[in-house]
Amino acid sequence: MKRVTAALAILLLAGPPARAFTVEVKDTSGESVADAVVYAVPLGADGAALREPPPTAIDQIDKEYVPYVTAVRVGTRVSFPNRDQIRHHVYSFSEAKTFEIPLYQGTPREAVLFDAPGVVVLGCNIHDWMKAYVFVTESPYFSVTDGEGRAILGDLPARGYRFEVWHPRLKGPPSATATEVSVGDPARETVTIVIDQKQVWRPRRAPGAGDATYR
Amino acid sequence: MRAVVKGALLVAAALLLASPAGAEWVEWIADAGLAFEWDDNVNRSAFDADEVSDFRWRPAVRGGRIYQLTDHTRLSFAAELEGALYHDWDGLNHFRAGGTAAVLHKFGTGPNVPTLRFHGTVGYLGISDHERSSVLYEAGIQLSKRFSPRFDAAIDVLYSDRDGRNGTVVVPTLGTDVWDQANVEVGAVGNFLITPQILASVGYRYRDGEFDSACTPGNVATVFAREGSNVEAIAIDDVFGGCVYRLDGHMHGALVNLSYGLSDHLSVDLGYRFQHGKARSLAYDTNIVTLSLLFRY
Repeated sequence: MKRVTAALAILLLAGPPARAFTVEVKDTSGESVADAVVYAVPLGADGAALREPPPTAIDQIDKEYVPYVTAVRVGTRVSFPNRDQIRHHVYSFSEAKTFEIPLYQGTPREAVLFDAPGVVVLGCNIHDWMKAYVFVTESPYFSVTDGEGRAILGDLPARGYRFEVWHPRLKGPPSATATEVSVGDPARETVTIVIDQKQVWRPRRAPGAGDATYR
Repeated sequence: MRAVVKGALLVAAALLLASPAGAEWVEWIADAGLAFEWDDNVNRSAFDADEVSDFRWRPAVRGGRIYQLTDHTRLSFAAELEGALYHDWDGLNHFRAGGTAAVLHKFGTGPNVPTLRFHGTVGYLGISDHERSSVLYEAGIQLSKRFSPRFDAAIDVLYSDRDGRNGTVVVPTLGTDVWDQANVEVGAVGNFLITPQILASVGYRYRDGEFDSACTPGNVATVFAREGSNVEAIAIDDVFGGCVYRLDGHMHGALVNLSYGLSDHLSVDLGYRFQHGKARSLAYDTNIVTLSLLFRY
């Protein structure tokens, strides 16, 4: 009896059970959108005690950033391991985080602290085509869509949320994608958000007869 | 001119030897290409009726290494081997083997920061018709800048010097060193991404200096009548059967190229070049269409 009472007490203290929730992101033609950041903003006061976000990494492999899009919470430290046998020069001029890691190999000793929300665009000063994005959010609930356009937000406490989507090609602000959903309803564990996309350019990597060489 | 090229190579070697601590070899160069080209005036005749056209295959490979001098300056050394196989005029079949040293400096950090590149090249042009074989020297400077992810442009100045053999005498009072040619060339090119895969390039070049042109027993008198002392050298032409002469003039060239990226490392290109050469009186027009497959590691 004491054990049952203790279990009930733990459940009451912990609040409603957390559950995974799936968000599908499609474009206006119905195609799945990969590399979209989906984040959930609790409606009303959250009250969740936030732990320090775990560090993460963005690799450089075969002269490309991997992954192309990374979502992190404000306060996350990101390292930039260079897996290539050549040197890269990572930089960002974005307002949310301006930094530069001059030419290096291996993993820099200091990770970069992303301490303000916003979009951070990464470049490489040697290989102009290298581009990646870091989306820094204040919400602890976020994920990035896979190749099928699905983002799974795990451990989402049952309550109401405003889901928003950001993507490098998103036309308009993320708030334009806002969709309010009540998480906890067993009949609804998936929501689809449609986003409008624009063309985003980056320098072409393939050789061309007329292009200026970078070497 | 040769002193300029040798000086450029010496500067490259000195930079390598005097490079600061932390400088090191950082990247390989491994390029290859195969082009199929049509040229409507391979003998560069000034007379429409005497122009001959031909197809040629042009394979090319290039390998080398890049040495990082500072965060924004790199030095590269590359060996190049190119060839040309003509369909009809196999006397023009040739290879070109050479080496290039280049120093590239980017004026800061960011995709739109301008880049300056100096290079010096020494090569040997070996042609089936041995009289045409030559030693080549080249030195150039290029300033390039990206204006947006879709558009970049470059301007350059190029000095080239070809040191050839003497040919067989046609006019005793004139030299036979037709293949000794020096040129100064300036050019500009713009590259625009039409789609993420398709890159369009448009360029213009102006060249001032010496070039060669084929002549025949039927038109050589006209050449001398119209160019006079501007014909600097003349020799027997073993490839086209008449004579070949060197003269001084200038050339305007226009080029357009469409490049389709098949992958990050491979593209197929279709290009067209028009060259209009003008000496004292005679004009020399050439149209060249090139279909090529380019690989860059």
